[in-house]
Amino acid sequence: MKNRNILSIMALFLSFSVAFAQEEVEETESSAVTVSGSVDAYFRTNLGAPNKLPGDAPGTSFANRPGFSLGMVNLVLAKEGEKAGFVADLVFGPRGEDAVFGSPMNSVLNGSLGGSAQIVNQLYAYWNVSDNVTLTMGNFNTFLGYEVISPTANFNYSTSYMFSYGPFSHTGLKADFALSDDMSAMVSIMNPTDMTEFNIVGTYTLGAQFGIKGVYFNFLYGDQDGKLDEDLDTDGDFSAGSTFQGDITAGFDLSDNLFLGLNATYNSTGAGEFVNGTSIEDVDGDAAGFYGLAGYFQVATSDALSLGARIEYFQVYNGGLGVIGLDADGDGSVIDLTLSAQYKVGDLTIIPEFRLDSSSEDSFQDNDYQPTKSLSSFVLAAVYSF
Amino acid sequence: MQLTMLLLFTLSQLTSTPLEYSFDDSGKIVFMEVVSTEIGFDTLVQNVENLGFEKVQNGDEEQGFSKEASFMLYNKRISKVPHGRLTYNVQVDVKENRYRYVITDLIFHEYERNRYGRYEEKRNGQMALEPLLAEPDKQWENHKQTILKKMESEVAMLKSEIVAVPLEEEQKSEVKINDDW
Repeated sequence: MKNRNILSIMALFLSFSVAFAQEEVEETESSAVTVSGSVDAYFRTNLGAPNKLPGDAPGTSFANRPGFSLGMVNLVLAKEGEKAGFVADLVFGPRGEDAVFGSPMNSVLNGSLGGSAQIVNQLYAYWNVSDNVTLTMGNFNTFLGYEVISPTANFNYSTSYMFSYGPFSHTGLKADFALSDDMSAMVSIMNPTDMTEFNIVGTYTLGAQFGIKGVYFNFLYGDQDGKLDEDLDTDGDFSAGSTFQGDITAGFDLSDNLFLGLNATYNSTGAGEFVNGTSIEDVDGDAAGFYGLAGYFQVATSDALSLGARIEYFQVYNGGLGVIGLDADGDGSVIDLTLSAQYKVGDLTIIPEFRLDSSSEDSFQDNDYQPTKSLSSFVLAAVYSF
Repeated sequence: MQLTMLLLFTLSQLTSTPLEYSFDDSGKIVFMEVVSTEIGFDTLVQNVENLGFEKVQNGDEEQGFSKEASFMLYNKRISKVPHGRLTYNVQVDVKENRYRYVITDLIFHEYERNRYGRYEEKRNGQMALEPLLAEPDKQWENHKQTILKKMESEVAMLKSEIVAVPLEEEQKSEVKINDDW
């Protein structure tokens, strides 16, 4: 029954495609395969806190290792045909490894760790069904949030909490609609988040996006760890409930030189269910998750030099995440202020960055290895794009 | 055999009059000039190919070449803010001791910030340049002068490179050490 529903949704996608198709697909298209990408490395140090352990850093993704550290080599092969194209986005190095942390599922299945699936960041093919409709299938980076995996597209080198604990990538089928010059929409059906190679739990996640005049409303809903099965699961087994995430991104030119980007997100996962004896029962409890708000200010001072600040408020509720200190109710919050400069020398961008994380509960440690509520750090990054 | 390149500039080519906007019979902007030179057909062809032009017309006495080029246009505020990219076609036709260039098909590709705050080409943001330059807009008045300067620079570079001729191999003077020195 479940598979029949999935097939129905996919059939709906295809019927959309046929309805919007205006021309016959040409048999062949000639456009070159392009190669682009980036290379990044950085230096990171805490100010007034230990620098010995990889964990001595804010609990956010990337740019969190001590000393001189490697980012990644990002190699993107793409072909943009008039009617169809593909993207093969490969990552090598620590940042890439963190970006595809759900992989290598296939290698684990085959009993051979370190397989090539571990370097695939994105892998998808698309069909421009018409001028206004594009169908994409495969593994693509998330449509939620304001920051991305590639360091070339973010202003700050370190990342926010909202980015770090939202989805990175999805695998599935999506349909993008250009409704007008200022309006767009997207619907998708996908594996549970980060199950980027295949789906081992049998549930699917729905995604949607609506954009109007630079403001994007993004939604995600689905069960990320599957449903319990009375015939398979045993007494005490637990499964979390469905996850909902609603997210808004927007950008405004406040003046000729001052730009403000905004991101707000709300994530909630239901209390779930468990096997009680031979029956499956709902867990008695509240949903858990996180929410947050971030502003991204950017000022261009010259062609080569830009300054930017990110200020983020991030709140965990009901023990939704264990990445910052929480109180007895499972609640905790952190504010991070990140000041970055971008200095461009040709295709090289040098990013010095100062960051302050301040949490409601003890989340870090000082030089005496005593718990503390704040952490200051400095990063100097070199990002080359080609 | 070692070849060196010498750029030969003829005064008449380098001191050409400043470019002006001119239009063909359909109202499209065209920058065109026929240039006479002492350089032969084969050298001219070789030089045009060295500039990255693609051959579009083949012949023993006349060859045609074409190349797409572009540059960014910025809105001049306190700093430069990307407004868009101007693309255009440069066509060069070569005959014995003369060539002509034709620059046309000037298309403006408007830029906008994407959802991550980065500038990228706006969807359906391509416009022919001619009606934009006709607008009574201060920004486009600035662009009009910028485009003219860029075109002058493009033409000057083209003119200097297209008449470059390879030096004949220099005669090496042999030094002989004689006993009766």
